[in-house]
Amino acid sequence: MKLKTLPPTLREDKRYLAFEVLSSQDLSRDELIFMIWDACLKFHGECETSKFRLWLNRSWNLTSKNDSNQLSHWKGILQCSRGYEEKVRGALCLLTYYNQKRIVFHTLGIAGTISSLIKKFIKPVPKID
Amino acid sequence: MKFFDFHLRGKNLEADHTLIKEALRLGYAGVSLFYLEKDYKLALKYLDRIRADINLNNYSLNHSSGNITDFQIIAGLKLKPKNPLDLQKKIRNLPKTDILMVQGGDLKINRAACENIKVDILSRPYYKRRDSGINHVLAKEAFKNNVSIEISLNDLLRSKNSLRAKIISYFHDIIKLHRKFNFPLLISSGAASFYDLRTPRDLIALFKCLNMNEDEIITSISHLPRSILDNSLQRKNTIVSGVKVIP
Repeated sequence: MKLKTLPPTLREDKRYLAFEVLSSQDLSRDELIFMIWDACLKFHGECETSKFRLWLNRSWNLTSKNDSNQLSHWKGILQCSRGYEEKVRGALCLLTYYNQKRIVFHTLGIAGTISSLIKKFIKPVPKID
Repeated sequence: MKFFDFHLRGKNLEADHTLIKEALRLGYAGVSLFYLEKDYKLALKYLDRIRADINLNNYSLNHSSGNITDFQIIAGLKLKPKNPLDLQKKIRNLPKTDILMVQGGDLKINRAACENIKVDILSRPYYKRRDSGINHVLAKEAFKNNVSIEISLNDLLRSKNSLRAKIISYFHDIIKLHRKFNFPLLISSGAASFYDLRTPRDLIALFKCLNMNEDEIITSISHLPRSILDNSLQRKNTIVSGVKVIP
């Protein structure tokens, strides 16, 4: 039987991080999740990471087949608890190697809702002067 | 807010061009590339080409501020002296440069660099050491001679487990001395490839985790680089200490 959903007042506040990953090897969504958890666990430890409530909400594989550099490019949205977004961001930027291949993790921005995050950082509308 | 990455490792035309383009994309307002003495003159020539290319091409779409005319590319000279005497010799026979950086690590070189007013930056004083490489004496000297102490993100990125923990503890020691003695503390990426570059906000988030407050970090990656550049400009116009040419 499914648990009854908590009322909004009892739910934890969330923040959403938009990120992009560039890697010299092909990555899968599962590998992305493993990397995120591993980075947080290594930098902050189990006790602190338990407070983050990490969840990968969405991810897009933007790797271009015609790319001469053969870089794997992902964008995604990561959910975490409010107040811990800077700690998550700090841990993620320390990701450098995965399977002995170079990787770089940039946080594009932080927002309170997924829709505003997509609007601002994933698919930004070009400014018209 | 304008952020600077004040230590990129220059290699060759292509690699440097890629680094600079990536720094521009990540929202930096300027970068400084450091070269060893033997590569410095050649680098000055091709940096002009890179500057021209960046101004010609429309990279502004990716840049957060949307304006790339202010993007500064500065060439600096990095010295790796064997001993303090070698450092003095090298400084005496120096080519004209905007910024002078000394690679730290050896305690005697750390001290000689902190005591020399011509040195702008002492890079990674903890390099290959079992301590931070800075004590209260060096901290006072660095403050007196306005020598910035650099801590490099690249050291964190290239290490893991216990080594990374040790490097973080060296950072803590340096930050503690910085708070007490007020010497300029510079945070930079030390990037050799675009994989080593991080956005300024990522840097702020990371160093917040290392118990620095936001003002200190912003001073280290924004205000301090600007003041180093101003000092360098003033130094060019200075004839002797206290006398300068007013243009």
